[in-house]
Amino acid sequence: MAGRPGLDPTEEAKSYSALFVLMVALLLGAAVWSIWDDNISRRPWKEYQVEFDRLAYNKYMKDAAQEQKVLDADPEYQKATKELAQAKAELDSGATAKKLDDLRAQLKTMKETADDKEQAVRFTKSFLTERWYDYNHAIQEKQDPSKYMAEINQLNAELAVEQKISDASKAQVQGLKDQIDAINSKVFDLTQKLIQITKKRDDDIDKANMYMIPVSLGGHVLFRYPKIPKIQQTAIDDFDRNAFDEAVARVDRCQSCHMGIDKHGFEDAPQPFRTHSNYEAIIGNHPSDKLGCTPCHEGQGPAVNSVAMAHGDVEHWEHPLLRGAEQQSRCIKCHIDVGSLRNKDGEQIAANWVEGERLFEQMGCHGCHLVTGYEDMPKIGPYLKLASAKLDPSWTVRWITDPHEFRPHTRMPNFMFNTAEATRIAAYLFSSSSKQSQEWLKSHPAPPTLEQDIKSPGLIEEGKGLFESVGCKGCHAIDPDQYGTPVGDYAHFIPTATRTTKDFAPNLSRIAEKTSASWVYLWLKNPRDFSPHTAMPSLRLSDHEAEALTAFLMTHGQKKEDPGVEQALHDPVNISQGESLVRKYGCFGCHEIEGMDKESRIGVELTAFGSKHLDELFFGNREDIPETWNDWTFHKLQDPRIYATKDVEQLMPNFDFQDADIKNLRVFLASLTDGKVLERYRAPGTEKQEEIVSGRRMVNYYNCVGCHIVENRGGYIRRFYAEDDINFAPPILNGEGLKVQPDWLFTFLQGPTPIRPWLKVRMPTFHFSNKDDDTLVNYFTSLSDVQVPYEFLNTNLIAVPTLEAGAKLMSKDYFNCFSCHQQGDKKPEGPPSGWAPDLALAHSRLNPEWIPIWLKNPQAVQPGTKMPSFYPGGPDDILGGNEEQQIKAIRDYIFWFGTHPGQALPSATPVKVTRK
Amino acid sequence: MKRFAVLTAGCAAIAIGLGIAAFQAAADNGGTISGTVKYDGTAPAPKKVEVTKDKEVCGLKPHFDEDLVVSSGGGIANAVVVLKDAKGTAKPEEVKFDQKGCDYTPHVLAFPAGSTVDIMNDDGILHNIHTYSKVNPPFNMAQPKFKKEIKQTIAKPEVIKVSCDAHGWMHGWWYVTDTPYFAVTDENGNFTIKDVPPGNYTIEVWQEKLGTQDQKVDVKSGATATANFAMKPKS
Repeated sequence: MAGRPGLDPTEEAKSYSALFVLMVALLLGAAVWSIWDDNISRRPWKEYQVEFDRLAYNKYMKDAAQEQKVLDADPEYQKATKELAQAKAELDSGATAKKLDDLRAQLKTMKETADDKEQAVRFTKSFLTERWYDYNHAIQEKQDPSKYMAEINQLNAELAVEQKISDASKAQVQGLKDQIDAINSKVFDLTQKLIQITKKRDDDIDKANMYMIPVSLGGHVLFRYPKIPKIQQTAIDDFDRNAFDEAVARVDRCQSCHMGIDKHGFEDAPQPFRTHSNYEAIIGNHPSDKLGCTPCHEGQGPAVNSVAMAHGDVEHWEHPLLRGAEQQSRCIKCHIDVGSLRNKDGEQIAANWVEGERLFEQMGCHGCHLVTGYEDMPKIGPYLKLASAKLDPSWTVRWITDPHEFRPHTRMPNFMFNTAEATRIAAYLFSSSSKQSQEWLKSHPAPPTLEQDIKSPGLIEEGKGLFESVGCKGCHAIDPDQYGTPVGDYAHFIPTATRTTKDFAPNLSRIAEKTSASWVYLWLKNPRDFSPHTAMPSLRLSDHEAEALTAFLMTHGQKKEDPGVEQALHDPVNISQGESLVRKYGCFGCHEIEGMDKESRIGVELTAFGSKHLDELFFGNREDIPETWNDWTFHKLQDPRIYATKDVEQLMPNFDFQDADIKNLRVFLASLTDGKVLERYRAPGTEKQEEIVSGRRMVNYYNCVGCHIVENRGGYIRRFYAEDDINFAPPILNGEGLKVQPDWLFTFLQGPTPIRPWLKVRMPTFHFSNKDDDTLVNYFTSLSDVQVPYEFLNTNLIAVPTLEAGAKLMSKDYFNCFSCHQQGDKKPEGPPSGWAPDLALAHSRLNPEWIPIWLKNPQAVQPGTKMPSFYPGGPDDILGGNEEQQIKAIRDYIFWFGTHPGQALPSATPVKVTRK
Repeated sequence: MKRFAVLTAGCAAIAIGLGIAAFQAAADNGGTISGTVKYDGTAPAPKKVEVTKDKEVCGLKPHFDEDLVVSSGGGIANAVVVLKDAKGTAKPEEVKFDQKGCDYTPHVLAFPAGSTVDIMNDDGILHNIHTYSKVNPPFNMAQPKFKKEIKQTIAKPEVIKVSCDAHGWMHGWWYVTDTPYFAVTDENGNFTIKDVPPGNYTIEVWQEKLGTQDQKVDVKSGATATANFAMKPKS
């Protein structure tokens, strides 16, 4: 067989079918794989969506069924349904149906008639137009128009008659229509009413239909088919800025799986379908279609291929999903006053962050670490420029060696110095302060008989009574296993464990070991005299009281002299080496030390610590610690020198933090980031918020919460009062900004005057500067959201009948207010422990707007108060029994007699002059 | 139709009648517990309370501290005796708590949960009712001269201290029970609990100052069981 020229016959004879089959198979395989890969394997979210659609469908159908049950039991629904059915039936048959048919037939004929009459009118009008033309034409042609005029008159007369007839038939048509509508209206109204009644059920059904789409025929659902899964995404164009301040877009697809997150009703659904917690506060104020999810939660927003990828739990993704309290570190990005963010039950949303920030402030972290916004915070440690006037030398060395041995809960960290190092530091502290100390001691002589007096058992007992009652216990504990005010999480107050809750103020159980009786006495008399910035206030103790307290305190602990210490402290070598150690370890971060006022912080700046990349964190040789920011930080705070190596020294001391405190502190540290958020995403910042933040810092620094409850927190001293005696505890200051007048509060804070002289506990004098005082006053008014802090009530303009009503209401025959309340010099009967504040002072102290709130429900304002509620329940015979007016009359009368001491009620109401 | 209605009403009447009869029968079959609560030790002398306020009303009679009142025979007044594990729910009552001569009458009031207390003010001066309760919402209501009566329903069982802040010496107690079987001792320390279904129970006595004490008591139908207590001061 001869082939065609140029062709290889053997090639022609070859079969490629096997190859062809293989290729086809491969191609087919590839096609199947690509479809599978594209639509199935990388679409795990589809399954979630299908599951959620089923869940949502079932839920809404169940809700609808539930609602149907409610409706079935609802007489109104039953009535409406019955009436509607009846009304419909009436329209279909019976007399009404017949009447309706009649009316419709009549309407039809009447409409035809009306149309005819209408046409006649139109025709006549046309003729008229024509005649008017003829008439005008005749005038223009100079012919006689009168013939036309006669015709016009004739036509006008005809038109008037026809118009009347037409109008009458139109009215008849309308009348018939109205009758028909009246018959139909019942059905229409009832249908509308029923729609209203069944709205909830119908909404539920509509919602259910969205998830499983029904195919209906004649009102019956034949079958349903599922919704086609679709990626749900939110794109935020410019939430983030990069290093060049350019917008960086975010795409969040979280809701492709977390489908119930912004819907009520899935609170108990399994994850990922559950409704967001604190729904009103979070979703209500942060619509997820505008803000997405990752600005607060982090994770890998656009990733949908797997749960791990979406949550960013993959290598090289720098912002894995924040879990639990970690999310709270993001609030500060947009909110100035994170502490005031509360859910609908009034609980703090970022409670861990707030706790962490407070730890940062109260543990004095800012002393060694610079953080923008926290630069100007006061040093938290005792004043050491007069150290040698106060401290026992042997104790000082032991203390520096291990503060936690002496006071397990002290805020002072352990630097792990050996005795030699501690001796050197003590030597420097004593020598640098010796000159000033001597001068101070010379100018502050203690009573010469003090040492002798304090041995008296009677005085010691008296001192104990003072310690128990005057307010010391708000901050200090004297039992080694007790606490005054804890710093951090006191739910875990474990007295003997090594890592513990911290004490705000020193535990005084071994005070005599540390210092001398004369120092304690002078300190109690006026702490600021010794330490210009101390948080310890003056309790305005008399000399005798100060002696008694000193006597009591000095029974706690005993001097323990270590041989050779005195001598070592005077060794010049020790002194100079001590100075180097003080500089190296940065003791001046917390303490004021002579000659070290200008030293800068020794720790690293933490302003953007939360943004640190892993390669910026030094793990030393610790292979056992997982390489994450969270782990690094936790272990650093738990054991600050854990990453030290042979060649890299670490200086940070050990605070012996308990785990709960470390975690809270870590939430705060994580919030220190360098990311900028555009103004339009930030919560509107106000001056008030800034005032609250500044004031809260002062509250933290001075520990107001030791005695008072402020922002629903604190009042630690209250636990020492029996339930019946809680009225003798320091007042609760929630809502204080609304209660008192700002100028009164300002003056009171400068120099407290007793309002309740029968209280044993004393509001101390803190010696606030005007600026600090102002900050506190603004803090309270802003917390109470008082719009106009200065309320003025012109008592000269109060109507006489109002005053008379107020006086009558407060009289013995009615509320008998002065049974307990003082009124200037007029004191109530009975012992002072049963008295209530002087109402003659109320006008200068209380906000007139607050008194009605108080009168309506005193227990709500000050739980446990002895003030009973008088309302509701006012008398019927005053001001017509109008309680609002009665309350106002009482308030007005209180203000009046405060501003008119000793005066009788006026006889005529002054005329009010209106300003133009 | 009418005849049917009459028939139904008749049946119902018979049924109710039977029910009452059955109930009475049950009560008839019940037993009684009686006994005395005595003070174990030398009775403290009654402490006089000084009237410091509103003397024209409060000072008309002498006042004594009522937190432990022991009769000459050693009986403790105002102790509450309760059957702890008896079945049966208490029917709410309407009880009277009077403020008379600046004292509470009675000093200890026991009543079942859900009852309404009529707080009376017969003194014509300002009193206030301040309750120290934890289970029920605490309240502190003024009762001025013109308000002769306040009604207050106490929903849950609890022992509630009541005091008047206007007159520091006025203290009283509301013992709110969850059982219908309770009694308050009279001035001689005697008490009787009637119509108790037969059975073996724990009977507890509570006294505001001395605390609680309990014992077992066996109640037999138609018989009177005795439960005597001797209470010592709390150590």
